[in-house]
Amino acid sequence: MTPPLSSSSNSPSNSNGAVTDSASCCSQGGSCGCPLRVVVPTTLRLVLGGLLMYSGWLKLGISSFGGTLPTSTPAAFAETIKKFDLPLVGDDVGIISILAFMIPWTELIIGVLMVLGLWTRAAALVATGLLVSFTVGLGMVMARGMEMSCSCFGSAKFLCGETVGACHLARNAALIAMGVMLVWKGSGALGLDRLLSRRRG
Amino acid sequence: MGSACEGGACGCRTSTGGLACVIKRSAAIVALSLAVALVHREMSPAISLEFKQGSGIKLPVTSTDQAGKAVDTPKSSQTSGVQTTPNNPSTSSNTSTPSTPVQTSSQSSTSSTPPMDSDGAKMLTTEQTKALYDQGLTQFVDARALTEFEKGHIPGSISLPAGDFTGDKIIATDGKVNMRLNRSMNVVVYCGGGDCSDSKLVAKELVARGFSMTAVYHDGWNGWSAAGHPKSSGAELPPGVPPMIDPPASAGGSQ
Repeated sequence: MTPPLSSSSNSPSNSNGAVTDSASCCSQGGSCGCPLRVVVPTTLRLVLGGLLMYSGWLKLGISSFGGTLPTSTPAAFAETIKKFDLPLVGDDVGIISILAFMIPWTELIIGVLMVLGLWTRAAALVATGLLVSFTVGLGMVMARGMEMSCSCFGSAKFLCGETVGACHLARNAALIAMGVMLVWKGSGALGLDRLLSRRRG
Repeated sequence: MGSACEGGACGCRTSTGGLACVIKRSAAIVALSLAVALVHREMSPAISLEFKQGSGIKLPVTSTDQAGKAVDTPKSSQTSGVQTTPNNPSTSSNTSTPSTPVQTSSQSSTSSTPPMDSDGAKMLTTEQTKALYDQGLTQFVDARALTEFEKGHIPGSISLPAGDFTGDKIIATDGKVNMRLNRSMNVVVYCGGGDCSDSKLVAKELVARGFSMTAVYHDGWNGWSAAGHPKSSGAELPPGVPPMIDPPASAGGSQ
């Protein structure tokens, strides 16, 4: 069951010792480091994980690195959560204050795990769940005809404007697709998951 | 899902075990996040959501009111979110005097009604801010960068740049806030004016720290200076000088 060690960079060999190219490696279903199997999961991990880390860090406002990052605070994020007026949350200060700290920390932790390629599928599953819940919340705001700030990345903006709109839904849909891909594919050849599994034999 | 775990790519050895493994690890991640969040929450100032509901800042009575008399308006009849402040002993009904900071506005629905920003924060017009300034019992906070503050500011203001509420600066900022600002008095935060967001960020931070009588001066420094109101430049007043009392006379460099 254990896949062969990735050796694409050193001319992978088949069982007969013949050198194979990347395409044949992929066609044989091997996980020997063919470009798609390396590049796609790694790119997805770095992009989605990096975005989640960035988002969580901005919301926590721990450090703006000398003013280079437009950080916000959990208190400001709590205001946003309250304005969303979510079912089961409403204006309960206790729940909102927990969410205001927990959501950024969750984003930060799963972002780090994804970038490292450690527990990738679990982190991607949590990320997907988080993104789905965000999207549902945004959809509810739009359905009510409310005009309000997304605060998805604290006070920063990423691809979309500040006011919640279709762009935010499309962006989240793309991120959800990336999360689902990672749940399905795992960390890829360059993740710590793969490294650890090799050590276990 | 199970096939992706084949070969131990995610550390989950079998199809069924892989799924269970992923779910268990997901639960562990959520539990870890919750634990860290609870610790962080305990270490942080309590979150107050009163800001959205209208902060407790009290607007002064202007010349349009009855002969300058202070009027206490019942909460239910106040149209601009003006509220009494529980921790302020001078907010009891019918006790307002010209020297108290808690006079209420009965003309807030006039043409000078301040705009409300998208966050629901109380916003003050230049006229209202000047009235508070003239009353001499309001603490002004400049949320712009220190260099901008030193070029010019509302006399008696203290400098609390929005960036000072992040990272390692928070401890020093909290110390300054506790030393320089009085929670039982009005606080007006301003920045450059217009769409600048620093004043809103600082106001939220102050509300989260118990300054319930906080509002934002919408037009900010640009509106203040354009109106020809008093200005100061240079460093802020030392801690021993109350910033809100007789600001034009005591502020160094007043113009």
